[in-house]
Amino acid sequence: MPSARRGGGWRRRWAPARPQRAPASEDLRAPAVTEPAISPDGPLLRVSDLTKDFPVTSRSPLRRPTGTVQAVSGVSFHINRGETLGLVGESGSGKSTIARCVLRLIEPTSGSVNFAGTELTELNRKQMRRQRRFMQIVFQDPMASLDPRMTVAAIIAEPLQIHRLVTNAQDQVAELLELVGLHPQHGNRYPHEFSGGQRQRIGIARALALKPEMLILDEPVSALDVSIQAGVLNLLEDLQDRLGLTYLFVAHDLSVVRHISDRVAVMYLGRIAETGTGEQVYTEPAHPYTQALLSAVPIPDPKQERQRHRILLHGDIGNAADPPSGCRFRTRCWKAEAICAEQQPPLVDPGIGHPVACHFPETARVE
Amino acid sequence: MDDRITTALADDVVARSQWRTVAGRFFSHRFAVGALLAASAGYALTFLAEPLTGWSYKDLSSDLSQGPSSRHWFGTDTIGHDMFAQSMRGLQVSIHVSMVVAGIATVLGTVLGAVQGWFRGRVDAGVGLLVDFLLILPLLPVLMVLATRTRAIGGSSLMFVAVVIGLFLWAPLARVVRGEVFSIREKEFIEAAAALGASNTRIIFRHLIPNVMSSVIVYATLTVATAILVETALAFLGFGIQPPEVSLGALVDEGRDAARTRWWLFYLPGAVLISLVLCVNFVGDGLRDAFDPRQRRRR
Repeated sequence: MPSARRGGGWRRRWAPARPQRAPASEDLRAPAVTEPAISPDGPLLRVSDLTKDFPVTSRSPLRRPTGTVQAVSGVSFHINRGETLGLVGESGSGKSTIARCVLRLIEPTSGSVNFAGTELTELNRKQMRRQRRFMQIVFQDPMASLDPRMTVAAIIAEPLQIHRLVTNAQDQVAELLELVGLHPQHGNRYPHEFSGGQRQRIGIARALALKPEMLILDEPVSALDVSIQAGVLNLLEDLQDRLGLTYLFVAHDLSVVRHISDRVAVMYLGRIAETGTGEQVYTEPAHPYTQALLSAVPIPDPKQERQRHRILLHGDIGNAADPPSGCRFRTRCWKAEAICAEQQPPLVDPGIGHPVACHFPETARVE
Repeated sequence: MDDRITTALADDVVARSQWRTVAGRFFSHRFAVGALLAASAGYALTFLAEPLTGWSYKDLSSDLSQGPSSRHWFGTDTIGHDMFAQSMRGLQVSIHVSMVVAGIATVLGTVLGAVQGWFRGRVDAGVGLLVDFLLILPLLPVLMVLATRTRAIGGSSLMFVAVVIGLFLWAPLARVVRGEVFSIREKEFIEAAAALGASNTRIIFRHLIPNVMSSVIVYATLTVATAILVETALAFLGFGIQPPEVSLGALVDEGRDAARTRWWLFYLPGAVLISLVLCVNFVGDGLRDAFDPRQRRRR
């Protein structure tokens, strides 16, 4: 934890993140396009109709394209400044693809990603590289996401070097290490000398080095031991309060998402099934998939656990290369009727206070 | 264990980098260390030969075709060259040439291989075509033709021969590096660098190449051995380095006819050559073992 002396340091340097941006972007000789329009009321990130198709090629040496896997199909959401949006869903539902498309680490097939007034999908490579200062990502596997040949100090200083923001690398790195609860002397060690939780803190420090406005957290704690998860989650919440960060939190662990998110979006096979505040989604789920998902959360009391009502789904998450027509959940849904196979249910509020993509929405109380 | 004590100790410990771990493993490999010492000693001896024996490789003594003695350690040839001085000069030339060759081939192979693996697509196909072409090229005939054609512009000078051989030996390394980069480029730390806004150049030189260095170093060492043999073969065939400059290959070639009668002219330079190549190969093997991640016995 930061000492009192250092504690004053970050507040001075970190709190006024917005006003500092203008001179800093001059360092990069950036044109005006990188400067996000000041719109304090509008959402920081607005994603509309985002689609990502991955081509599937044949196994023959010719590698002929034989079809596409639609990992994300027409997803829209927004995140307000200072807010955390939790993106939940099972493996293969397209959560991580969305995270990478937002950063253009993979190119979206269509749709729009608007970050603070800048349309990211229209930027060229160079403009996008400058834009990366304002949005950073923390990866799932902290061992794989840190270069094993670099010292921790070099890893954390790298973003500063790339964007030519180095003034005093040693102090900057020490400050960042303290910010994430590591000892500044750990800087000259290598990633393999740290525990999983410490490595994830290093990853967070690297992401924070550029003083971004938004962090995309791609399953940041799912590779960690349960006992370590809480520490990293608390750190993330703490950092959000101090630095005014906006989070897109991707995870499959429902309780983790509930703990950290202001709003939650539940994904199924490349589409959003239900979205709303954490309270709405967790206590009044209206989409059958959300209800089934929540019914699978174990209760830590054995007596209650035995009486718990569970909704058992049959089959697997559908094949994204050949998705079911209409509602993608219909193949596993107990409410499915003819209309579900014919029409895709729009994500609209059926009068319960939050949007649901279901033809037969029905609120169920979950304690 | 007392937590405070371990923490206090740990804070003072400077990180043990992977390079140091590798060095530790290499130095516990007795054969490789012995070979490295022997090669270094041999190289030092090439400079001490003249002060020790009093003969330079250019000197012509009046002792013609004499066997090894305390005056001429490796004997003399028909016109009175001291064969020890000649062998040592040849050793020196071979080491210098092979170092330059390995340097050129390693830099070219590493950079081009990494570029292939990173950009893929057309760049990969283009460089790959060149690699394939160089790999199927019969090296010795081509080098011989080059040597005869370029004699006028210094085709027999030491550096020229080294650079030309170097330009032909990078292809196998490029293939190795390309393959490794294909696997490393999919790792998350490369994606992380891209997310930070790192340029292609930065990703290639700061992230990809450092992570393939283990293979590169091993391969570079083995390229040294190849280079020695190629240069020797060229000299043996009468191309490349020309008199009065000597090389081990040229010495073995000249001594070939006398292998039965004046054995020292053939076998002694040959023994020096074989020892050098063996030493380099042992060092290469030691390095490969030291870099092998499966060897966790010793850290």
